[in-house]
Amino acid sequence: MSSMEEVLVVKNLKTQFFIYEGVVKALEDVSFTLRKGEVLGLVGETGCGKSVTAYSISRLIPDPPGRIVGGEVKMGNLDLLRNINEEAKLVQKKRIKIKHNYKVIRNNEFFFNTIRGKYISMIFQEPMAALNPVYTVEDQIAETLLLHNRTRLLKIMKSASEHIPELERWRESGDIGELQGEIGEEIRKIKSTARGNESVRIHQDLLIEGGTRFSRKKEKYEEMLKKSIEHDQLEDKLLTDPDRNSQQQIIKKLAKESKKINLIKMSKKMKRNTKDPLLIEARRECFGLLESVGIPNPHGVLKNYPHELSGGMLQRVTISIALANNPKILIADEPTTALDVTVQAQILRLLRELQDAIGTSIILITHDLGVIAETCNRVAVMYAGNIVETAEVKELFRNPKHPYTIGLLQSIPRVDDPNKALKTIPGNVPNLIHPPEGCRFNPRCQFAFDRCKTEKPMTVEVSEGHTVACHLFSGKVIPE
Amino acid sequence: MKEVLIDAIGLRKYFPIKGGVSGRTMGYVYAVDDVNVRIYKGETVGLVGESGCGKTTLGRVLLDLAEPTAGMLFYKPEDSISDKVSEIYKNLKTNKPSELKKEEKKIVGEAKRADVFRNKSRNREFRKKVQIVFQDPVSSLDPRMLIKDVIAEPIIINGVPLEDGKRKKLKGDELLSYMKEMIGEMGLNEDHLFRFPHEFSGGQRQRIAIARAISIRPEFLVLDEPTSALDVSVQAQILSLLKQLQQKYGMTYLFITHNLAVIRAMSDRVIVMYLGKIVEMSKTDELFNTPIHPYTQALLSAIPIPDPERKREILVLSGDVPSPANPPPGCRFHTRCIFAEDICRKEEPELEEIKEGHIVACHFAKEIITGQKKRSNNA
Repeated sequence: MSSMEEVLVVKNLKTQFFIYEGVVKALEDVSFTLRKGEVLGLVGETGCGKSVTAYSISRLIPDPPGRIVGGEVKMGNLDLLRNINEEAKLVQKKRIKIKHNYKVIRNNEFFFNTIRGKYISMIFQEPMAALNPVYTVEDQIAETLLLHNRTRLLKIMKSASEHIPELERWRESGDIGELQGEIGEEIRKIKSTARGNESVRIHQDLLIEGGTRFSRKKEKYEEMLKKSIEHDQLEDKLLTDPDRNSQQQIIKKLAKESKKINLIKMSKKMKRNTKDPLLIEARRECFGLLESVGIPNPHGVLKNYPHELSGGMLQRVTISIALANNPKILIADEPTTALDVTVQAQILRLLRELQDAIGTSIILITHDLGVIAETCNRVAVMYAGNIVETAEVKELFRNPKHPYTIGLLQSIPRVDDPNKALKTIPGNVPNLIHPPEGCRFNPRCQFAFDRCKTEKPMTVEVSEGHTVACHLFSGKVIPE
Repeated sequence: MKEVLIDAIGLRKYFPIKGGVSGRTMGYVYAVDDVNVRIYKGETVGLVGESGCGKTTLGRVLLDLAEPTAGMLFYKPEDSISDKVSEIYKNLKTNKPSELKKEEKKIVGEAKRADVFRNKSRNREFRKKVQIVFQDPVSSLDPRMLIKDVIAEPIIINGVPLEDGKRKKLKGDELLSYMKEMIGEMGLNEDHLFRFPHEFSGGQRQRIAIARAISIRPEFLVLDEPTSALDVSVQAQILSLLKQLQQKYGMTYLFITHNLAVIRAMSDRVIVMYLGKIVEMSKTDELFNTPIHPYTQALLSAIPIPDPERKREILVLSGDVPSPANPPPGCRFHTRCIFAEDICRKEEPELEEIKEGHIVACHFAKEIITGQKKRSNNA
């Protein structure tokens, strides 16, 4: 397994919140790797830093009060936290003060707008809160597509404009054949995912309409396509270029021509049966996405507002937004906590199916060990801002090493084992403004000895792929 | 013979939907629809179901926190609150409400007037016997009250039962020492009494809410999702605390939750609700080993089990829970049921005792037990 490609490497990530009462040391040297095509579970109690980890990776920590004060998050050759230290300086006077450098912050924001939603996307816990109540489902999915996937949309339209006679013939006869180019791929996709003739027809209609519109103002859209391809090439270069200086230059360029979408205008256009082929194609993609996440009557749902849908349906919509651009990394922050068990089973199954189809790597954050056991390949257990144990799922449940993991596993009531005595971990999660010295678990640990109170344990590998941060175990030390 | 503590017959609670300019009633949300529940003394009854199935409403109606639209509620009916009521109750017990004759129905109507909850002074007595713990410990404690005031309030109003059965309202030092003893029992500190709710963690707040509820030594305690806002390790602490307290004070629990694992750990008997109706009712072990109703089966199979090496078939239900304002005709579960057939769409199944103590509302319960029932095309 260790030979697998690593898509995300997090090293010594340190996030702190500067509040009136003091500095909350929310993350302290969090390190883990995410491999291609796997589901990594992050598990722990409330306030242990699971969500802060996720937000730090996608740079969504609100500043102030939060700040990432150190560490590395590497996606390929690109360090996502490359100049985080230039953003602000800590000035230590009577009380800690922060001095911001707004120019760097702005550039970083532009830079991260190209990453977020395209390479790293997120699913949040509360689908109702994650969606904007004043825009339709269609608007909100189309936004991500138009922001990050312009090239693909335009290419399909261009290709469709060249094959309009065939498309029209197929619509009359009701069957579909093969074609070359982007449109051919799209048609193959439609064939495999579409549900029934009605849905194929909607796809065909939109393709034909978009293609015709494209050919009417060919020059304008070809120009647009050219620009968009250039932009994509820059982005690709940014991800593959190992040199920091050239990365810096590309980021500056990207920041200059960064796109913004006026959602109000777009939403208005979408409502008045738009003439823009880009929007028509975006609508078709939205339709396909809703179909792929298993929403009944997707064509009707496109025009719905979030309050018209149930929790399970909304979570499907947020999943389709997150997967719209086939991201490399998907961070699912408690995607099923707000849902009922029967709907939870539906959503988890959907996530697994989509992952098989697209090959995205998923970080699944949850406090439910049952969900972890049924969906993840590997697990990282967090406690008070540290990762205390990482292992393959089977290994972790069969052979937990860290006292906290053991306690956690013993404290879950089991449906399949009613006579199991519920053991509890005494005490409470520590206050992270004044975390305990040494190992942060030592006040609640039944095996704690003197060393635990003074010295922070190193992460050691006890068996292949199984690492623990505890003084009780010895093994190969993982270099920090 | 076990003593009946609470008996609810034909209980209904409909919430009107107001709409339009004039605020007319446009329809009803059928939150609890024709439910019969009997709870015996000293047992823990688990009530499960998805959100919106009416489990919380049922719990509130059983405590008369929400006035039932129809139906009757008896508290300790065999203990004879008044002779009239117990006579009526005896009469009812032998007959199903639907089979009653005309004169008997008249008596039932009288019972409705005479029963515990329609009478104010009776209601006050009743309040001393029952308590509730709410789901969210953050919103159920007044942020401007010290913990000592929070816990003292029910004691000052209702008093504490003495050994001779009378109640005594505590005051001053006596009250304080009583509360100190109480809070120690909850696993909290004495000086926690002089703090405000916001100074506590979720688990501690839930302990305070439990302390407030049991401070007047109730006989019947409704626990409305007491652990669903808490972490697993804290949940385990609260559950074992609740078990200890039950043993010590001999309370009867109605445990409302959507977490079946918690139900299995806590309760003696389980009631499964779906869209305002009881679909299955049985002893805990029996229900978990041989679930009969297709909804119970799906619910059980949907719980993720924390054991990656256990591979099992998960029955994933399609679709969502229908709106309780417009429940489907016939069996309410037929829109999502894998066994549904024509009869399910037309006729509503009655609760039937399939095995001893195992009550199910399904047209095909017998076939499902023997494994003869095949999946229909609905799946």
